[in-house]
Amino acid sequence: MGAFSGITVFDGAFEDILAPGTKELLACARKLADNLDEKVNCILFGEGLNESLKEAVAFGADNVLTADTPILGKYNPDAYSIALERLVRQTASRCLILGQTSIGADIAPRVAFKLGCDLITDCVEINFNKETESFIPVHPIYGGKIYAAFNFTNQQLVITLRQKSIDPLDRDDSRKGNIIPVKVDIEPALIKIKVVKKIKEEITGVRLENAPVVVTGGRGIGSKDDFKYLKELAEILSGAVGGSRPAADNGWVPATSKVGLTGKIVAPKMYIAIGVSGSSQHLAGCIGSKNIIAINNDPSANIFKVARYGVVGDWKEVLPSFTEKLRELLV
Amino acid sequence: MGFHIIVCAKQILDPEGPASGYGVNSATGQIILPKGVPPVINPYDENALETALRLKDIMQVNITVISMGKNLSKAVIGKALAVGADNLIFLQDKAFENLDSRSTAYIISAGIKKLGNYDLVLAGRQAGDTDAAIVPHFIAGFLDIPCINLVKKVEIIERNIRVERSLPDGYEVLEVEMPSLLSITGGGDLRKADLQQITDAGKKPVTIWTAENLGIDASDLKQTVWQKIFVPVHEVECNFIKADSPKEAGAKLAIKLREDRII
Repeated sequence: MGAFSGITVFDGAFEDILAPGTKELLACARKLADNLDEKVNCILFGEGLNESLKEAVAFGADNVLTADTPILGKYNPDAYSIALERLVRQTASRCLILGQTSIGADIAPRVAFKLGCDLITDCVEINFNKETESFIPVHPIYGGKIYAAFNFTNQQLVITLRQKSIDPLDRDDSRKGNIIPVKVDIEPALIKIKVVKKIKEEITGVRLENAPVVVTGGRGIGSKDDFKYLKELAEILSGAVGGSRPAADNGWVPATSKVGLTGKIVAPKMYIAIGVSGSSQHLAGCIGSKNIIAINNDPSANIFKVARYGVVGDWKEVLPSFTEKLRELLV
Repeated sequence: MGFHIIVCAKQILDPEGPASGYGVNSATGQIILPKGVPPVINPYDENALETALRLKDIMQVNITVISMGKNLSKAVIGKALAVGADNLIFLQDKAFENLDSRSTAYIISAGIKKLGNYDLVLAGRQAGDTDAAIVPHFIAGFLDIPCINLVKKVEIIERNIRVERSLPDGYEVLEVEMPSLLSITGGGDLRKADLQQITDAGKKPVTIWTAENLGIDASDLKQTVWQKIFVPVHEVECNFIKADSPKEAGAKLAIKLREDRII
């Protein structure tokens, strides 16, 4: 590809602990770079980063570039995209990979536009053809009903990778890498967007995206009050409660607990879907789960096509005895 | 003096339609789309339109809806006029088919530039068919205006726009000056039109601009090229729990999970 070389991954605005998603990006970049016999760069923005820089090396980076500047301490779309564009140009990376996260999905199009290169978002795989040296990112379309594979040869490319699409590498502290502080000066006049404040929603119990068990309710639950039965089950299993889009839209669960294409992507050991029909948009958020268990009164519901265990019946009758039996078994 | 808000609306097949009709023609490599699923305004773009209408409810606002495509239907996008949009513009040309995100954004930005004065551009967070969420950012890029994505609430204070942007664990408040582009998530379902409004909307004209009207050279446009498309296979054999009653089935499910060492 001539002038371009290396795979670069990016994350920013985190608390000096590498996010699971960033480790996934590193694993993906490592595989691509090894195929090309090139380097993996990891660009991290934040303030006072230290441990995470070493972590990046341990999880697969050859070079960790860090811009420790107050202006990049917190996420600002303008500052981040300006700084990242400059560093991608400096490193002449052939491929920049970001997570399909609130930051990654926002910054990827900005940087791709500035670079004038192609961009494929929300990919579930990035394959590589060694013969033609082509990148083949796979992006689900029509809510995941169809997958589209693209082919890029000899051109710079930006990709965002869906969370939990690939397993991280095992941590290897013996790996060697360079930690390179870089300086980025950004003219204040270029910052048009002002971030006023961040409002964090209090989360009680286990975080949805890290929970080993997720109990999700759908349209079939019917009311906010009835979610208490799902909470009860989740508590027994040390799990978290999620909702499908109808459940979130109706306010039965907080918007931050929505599972699906436009919500959280989860991949727990056990995913219990109750009164969830299983639209492709919903499955996009849970298909990586080890075991999907479905309770639904419609035997033709799509959720049963992906479920390993299923009960056809009214959840109001099935769930209490299920919960009770589990309580008994788990004592 | 009021504000001019432009809402970008894409016509797509109803994404709520059943998954079963989708497939791939193995001979041509093209997508097989289900029969009988009606075209609709992209639901996320409907959220954007509703956001504009809520601003219009409380201040003087003029709304132009702009849509790009090949076979745009007034019966579909015209719904925007019935619920309260003032103007409807179709960017329609046979050269506007199956384009990539950059070309799509280029054409829409050309339409917006041709309109001239605007204070705010709204779009849905992504289209429910291509699910890429690239075009809004690229339109802002071509217009050289700020862009904020995943906006769930908009407030206008003089020439300042104050928004709430969704985050995985809450939201953040951002401020930006007009003109800017916002991509909307949530923000409420589109209101319904009554019969009178639908009748009146039918009489309103639709402006159609072609590539020539927009000064666009078709040879500058790039199509989306897939290496291949395929239907993903996720299906597993479902172990249905058989029992005499739903109550018994619940208990048997728990026992089965224990037997199989799932719990």
